[in-house]
Formats: sequence, C-alpha cells, structure tokens
Amino acid sequence: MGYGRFLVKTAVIYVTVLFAAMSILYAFYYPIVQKLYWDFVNYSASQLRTQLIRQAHGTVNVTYVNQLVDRYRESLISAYGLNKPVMVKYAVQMWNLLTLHFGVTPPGVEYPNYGQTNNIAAIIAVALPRTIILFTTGTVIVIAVGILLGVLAARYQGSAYDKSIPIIAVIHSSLPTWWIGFLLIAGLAYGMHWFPPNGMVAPGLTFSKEPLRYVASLLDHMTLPLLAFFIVNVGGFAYIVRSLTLATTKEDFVLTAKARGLPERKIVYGHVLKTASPSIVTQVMIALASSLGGGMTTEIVFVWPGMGLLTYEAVMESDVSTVMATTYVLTLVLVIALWLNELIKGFLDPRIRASAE
Amino acid sequence: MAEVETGLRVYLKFILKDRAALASLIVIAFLVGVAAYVSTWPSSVAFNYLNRLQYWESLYPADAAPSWMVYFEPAAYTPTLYLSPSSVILNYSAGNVYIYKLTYSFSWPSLKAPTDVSFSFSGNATISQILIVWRKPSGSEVNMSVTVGSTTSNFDLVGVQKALLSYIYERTGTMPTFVTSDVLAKALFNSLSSSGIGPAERGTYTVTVYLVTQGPEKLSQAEIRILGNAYGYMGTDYYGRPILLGILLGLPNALEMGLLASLLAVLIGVLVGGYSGYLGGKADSFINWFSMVVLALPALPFLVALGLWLRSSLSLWVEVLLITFLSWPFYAIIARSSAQSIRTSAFVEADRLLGIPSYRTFFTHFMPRLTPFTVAYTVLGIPGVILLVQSLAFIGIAPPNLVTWGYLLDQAYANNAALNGWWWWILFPGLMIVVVAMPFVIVGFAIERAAFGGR
Repeated sequence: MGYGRFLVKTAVIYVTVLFAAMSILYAFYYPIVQKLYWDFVNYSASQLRTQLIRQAHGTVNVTYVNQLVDRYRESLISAYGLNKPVMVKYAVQMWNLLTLHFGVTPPGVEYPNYGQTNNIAAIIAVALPRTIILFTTGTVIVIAVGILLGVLAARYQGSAYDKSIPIIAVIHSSLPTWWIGFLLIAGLAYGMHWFPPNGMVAPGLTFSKEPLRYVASLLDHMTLPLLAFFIVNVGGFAYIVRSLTLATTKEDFVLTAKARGLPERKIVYGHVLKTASPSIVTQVMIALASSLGGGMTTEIVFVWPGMGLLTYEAVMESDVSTVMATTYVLTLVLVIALWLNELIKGFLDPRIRASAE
Repeated sequence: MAEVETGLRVYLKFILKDRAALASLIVIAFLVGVAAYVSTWPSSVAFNYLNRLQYWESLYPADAAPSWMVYFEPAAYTPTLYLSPSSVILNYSAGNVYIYKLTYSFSWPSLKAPTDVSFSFSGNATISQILIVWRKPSGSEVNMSVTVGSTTSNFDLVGVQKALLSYIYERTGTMPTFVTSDVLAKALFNSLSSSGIGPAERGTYTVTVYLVTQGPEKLSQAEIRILGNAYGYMGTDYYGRPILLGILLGLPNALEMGLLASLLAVLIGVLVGGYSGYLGGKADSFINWFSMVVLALPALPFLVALGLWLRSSLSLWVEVLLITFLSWPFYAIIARSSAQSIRTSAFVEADRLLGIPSYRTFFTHFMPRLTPFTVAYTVLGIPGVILLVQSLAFIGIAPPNLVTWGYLLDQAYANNAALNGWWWWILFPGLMIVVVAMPFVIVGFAIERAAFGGR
C-alpha cells in the first residue's frame, strides 16, 4: 500500500475518533449547557420586562408588555435552538465546534490574562501557544535526556547505574508534578529568590517593544515549571526506552551484527535504536499529547496562563462555552498528535503500513 | 480453577523473595491497618476538620511548625504545652470560702517566649477569684489575679495584662509600646532586667494557682495551655488544624478510591478487551477504536468540568465511576493482545470444534490465564488513581465530606503557605501521596515481573 493511501485511511479513522470523543463530551455537558441557556433566556426576558415597565412612565399596559416579552423570549429560544429536537442541537453544536465557532463568553465573564476580548476562539488562540511552548520544550528535554539515559542503561545492563533506572521509574510513578512544583516554588522561588514564583513574563513587558528582555523573562519564568516537569517525567521515560532497547537487543539481527564484529556503538545507535524507534515515537507522542491536557495542575500551580489555567478559570466562572471549547481544542490537539504518531510510525516501519490494509 | 491457585502461589513466592516488594507489602499492610483504625472514628471528626474552622483556632496554635523543630532551632521555635496540675490540695477553708492550691510544673526548651498562655478552669462551685504565682527557673516570681464570679473561667494573658505590664515596668523601667499577647508572654518567660528583655529562660517553671471558690469544688477542668509556634508531629495549618489529623483522615478514602477505581477499570478492561480479543474481527477493531476515543479525551479538564458541575452531589462512588470510565480502555488494549495470543492455542480450537459456546470457552480458558494480568494491573493502577484523585482534590474537585491530601495542599496553596514559609503544610501531605503510592508501584512491578517473565 502506498504511503498516500495509508495517510488517507488513518486520517478517516482519526476524524471518526475526534467525532466520537466530542459526542461523549457533549453527552456529559448537555444538561448543564441546556440549563445555562434557559437561565440566560429567562434572565434576558426579565431584563426586557423591567426596561419596558420603566419606559412606560406609570401607565403600564400589562398585556402588551407580556406579549412583547413573550415574543422576545420565543425569538431567543429559537435563536439558541432550545425548542429543537436533541439531534438537531447536537448537529448544530458539532458543526460549530468543527468550524471553530465557539461563540463569546457569557456577559460579565472576562479573562484579562488572555487579551481584552470576549471571543472564545481569540482567547484560545492566545492560550494554546503558551501551553504548547511550555510543554513541548519540557517534553523535548525529557526525550533527549531520557533516550540518552535509557540507551546507556541498556548498554551497561546490570551495572549499578542500570539498576537505579527502575528505582527512578518507581518514584516517577508516585510523584505528582504539581506537588514538586509547589515545593520548588517554596524552596527556590520564595526561599532562595532564584526564580520568579509564578506567571509567564514580568508584568508590563511586551514582545513588540522589548523582544530580548521579553524572551529572557519568559525563560526565567519557564525554568521552574520545566524543572518540575523534568524531575517527574525523565525517570519513567528512561525506563521505557531501556525496556524497548533491551527487547530489541535480544533480536537475531543484533546477534548477527555482533557476530560480524561491528563496533558496540554502531550496533546500539545504528541497529537497536533504529528498530526500537517506532515504539519510542509512540511513547513520545502519547507523552506529549497527554502532557498538554495533564499539565492543567502544573499550569495552575505556576499560574501559567495557558489552556489548563483557562479551563480552570472558565470552570470557576461556570462558563460552559469556554470549557467546551478548551476541551475540544485539547482533544483536537491530542487526536492530531495520535495521527501524526501513526504517520511517523508508518513512515519508519513499513510493516505497520502493510497491516493497515 | 486449580491453575489459578498455583498461579497466585507462584506470585506470592516471587514477592516474598523480592526484598523491596516484601517491605512494600508490610508498608501496605500497615497503611491499611491505620486506615481501618481511622475509619472507625465518627464522621464528625472529618466534618469538623472541613467546616468548623473556629473550633480549631481555640484548640491549637495556628501555623505551628512540627514540635521537633524546637530541638533544631530553639531560638526560633517554641513548643505548645497542655498542662494539667500535678497536685490539687485544699489549702484553706472557712465557712463557705474554700481555697484550693493547684501546682503545675513544666520544662521549657526554647530560647523564645510562646505566643500566648491561656488558662481555663471549671467545676461545680462558683469560682470567685484566681491567684497565679508564676515562678521562673531563675527564681523570679510573677503574681497575677483574676476576679471571676462564675463556675467557669477562661482567660489568656490579655486578661491579666495589668499585672504583667506592671511587672515589666518594675523590672525594665519601660513600658512596651504595643501590648499584644506575645509581649505579655515575655514577662512570664524572658529574663527581664534594667538593660532590657533577654532570651527566654530555659529550665523548669513552677506555676501555683490558688482557686478561691464558694463551697467545695469538684474541678472538671484545670488546664494551662502554652501556645507556641510548634505543635504536633507535623505542625498545624493556618486555622490551627493539625496536619497529622488531616493526613490520617485522608488515608482511608485514598486507599478506598484507589482500589475501587483500579479494580473496576481492570475488570471491565479485561472482560471487554479479553473477550473482543478472543472474538477477533469487527468487535475487536471496534474496541480498539473506542479505546482510542477515550484515550483522546483530555482526562483532567474533562473530570474538572464534570466535578464542578456535580459539585455537592459528587460522591466517592461517582468519582470512582468517572475515573473507571476514563481508564478501562487502557487495560482493554493490553488484555486484547494477551487474549489474541491465547486464541491460537490448540485447546481453544478443540473447544470450537466441539461446539462449546464462545462465552464458556472464554471463562474456562481465557479468564484464568488473564488473572495474573488482572492482579498486576490492579495493583499498578492504584497509585495512578490515587495521584489523579489527589490532583482533582487539589483543584477543588472532591466529594464534599471527604478530607483528602489534595484538599490540604489546596488549602496550603490558597493560604500562601509557600510565600509564608510554612513548609510542613506543603511537605507532609504531598509526601504522604508518595509514601502511599510507592509501595503499590513496587509490588505491581514485582507481580508484573513474575507474571510476564522479567519484562
């Protein structure tokens, strides 16, 4: 099968995955979305009634006012599609999400950390790059160091260094990142005053005016979250790389390479790592994708104004539209990451391309 | 089922040989024992911890460091002591007037005075007057008196400030500009001289209290509380709640949720994944696809939104079921591949030829072989669930009647514990998460090694 057909076929599968995931989200959010819309309609209708009575200056035609208010209410209900059947509401919602029409935040709800706008798509356009910049940097560091540590452990199998990797992996599985972040803030930010405790850049700095100072401040603010992310994730990743590499070391072609008298270095990097790379890529992509959604607590602790903090603020404001939008965008990013993973794997390993037939 | 028993025995042997796993099992047994003990406490303890903040303020000092810090830094930390009288003697009685002499003594290890001293006396007879003679290690004495007129009397140093201020003036020749309980406590603890206020005197203090009562007194309470800035094994929080109590209260629900959610998810995953792997074909690819769908859901934002929507109706079981819903497909994927390898065995083929229904083949041949898998992943899943539950609680999503470590850390965060340097409030609850999660990870790794041959 050609790579083009493989690409299209996996793309179709991942679109259905995205659709199904959104449907599950919608099924869970449906009751609260409906309640919120009804609340808003009733609130607007009562607002209009008060306004009309105030404008009438004493002589109130109650029947007329009620008629007007009812008509307004009806128009709002049909505008929000509240009288439509569930399936139609579902279809409209899905279409809006797919076309990135997230609407605006409810009246009174503002997110000053993400620019002076109430357009949810614009808010997310500010928040998403911030999350990506933090967690992609973190993941790249973890991958680079993790692969190095894991391969070294596999090369010197049985040494004290190799034995310490599982211990680090055990610790990795039992550490909450946000707690490490909390400790780092208490120790290095407030205790030693080495790093700023929270935020993304020093207040008042803009990239357009002082780009160099902006970037320096950004790096300064990124250090602690990155450190927390690194401490928690590097052990587990090194352990996975070690296991995958060791599993490949037992294969026949490695033995053949050894028999041919190839240097150890060449075997490890040329044969073993190359064969293990599709599995490592899978781990990397899943780690990267889940770090975006799972970084919520880290963002909250470090007050990093990305998607996680935005979701948290929106949830606190009961702003369901924004919550729906952020979960959708995170899901979209995850699905794209999973798809890319499939593509890279298919590119690296022809067997996978063949099995998709 | 004989095969299963030998299987489990093999794992047990394997774990008993592995020293780290054995130690972890002992730790788990200890934690379960503590959890069982804590769950016998009345639910009012947890309720008070979460809701009655004033109750703790009067009981324990706020923001207190762990008491053992006194021995590391005697110049910075002062212990909290709850004194009861070493002797109660009827000193004098004439007519309706009785005078009781209560003797207290304690030793003070710190170089600093406490923040406050409070006295509380109550009994069946009316107390008309209380006289206190406070004797420092150097022999210097402070006299205080309070007029009462009821059966109970509670007062702290502000209630006897006149006597203390005149004592300070008499000793140092100056009056303090601000009168707070810390300043007044210096009169009782520090060595005062004309050159100023020195450090607190270390050594044995003797306090003699004369209670003047109308009629014979049966004391129900006669306590002197010295409120320092250190208390308990793990200190207290901003409201005076002991951290240790919160940690103990968080243990049963952490273990319960971890076990329930992990077990449910693995069971569902093994049943669905194993069966679909056994059937193969369309059902199999559907399960694979559905696992991908759930994998694509951003778990934490999703749970946060649902949890806040449910708010007070969020119970332990609802949270467990939500976590189960998000995690079972992971186990289904792994169980599926295990089942696929069993599928090609000769005995499965034989069953099919004999016309035995597929579900029966599944339960007689597949489930017993998937048991080690179930055990290993249940144990390995527990720390993951505990971490997730605590992360959610840290964000503020937790059943409203449960004390969790995430809640303690959330409170620490909300009250700027990091900024104020209340490290004990941050360190111990988080450490507890690690301490509880780690033995499960170690045992899980050991079972995994036993079950799947040293992967």
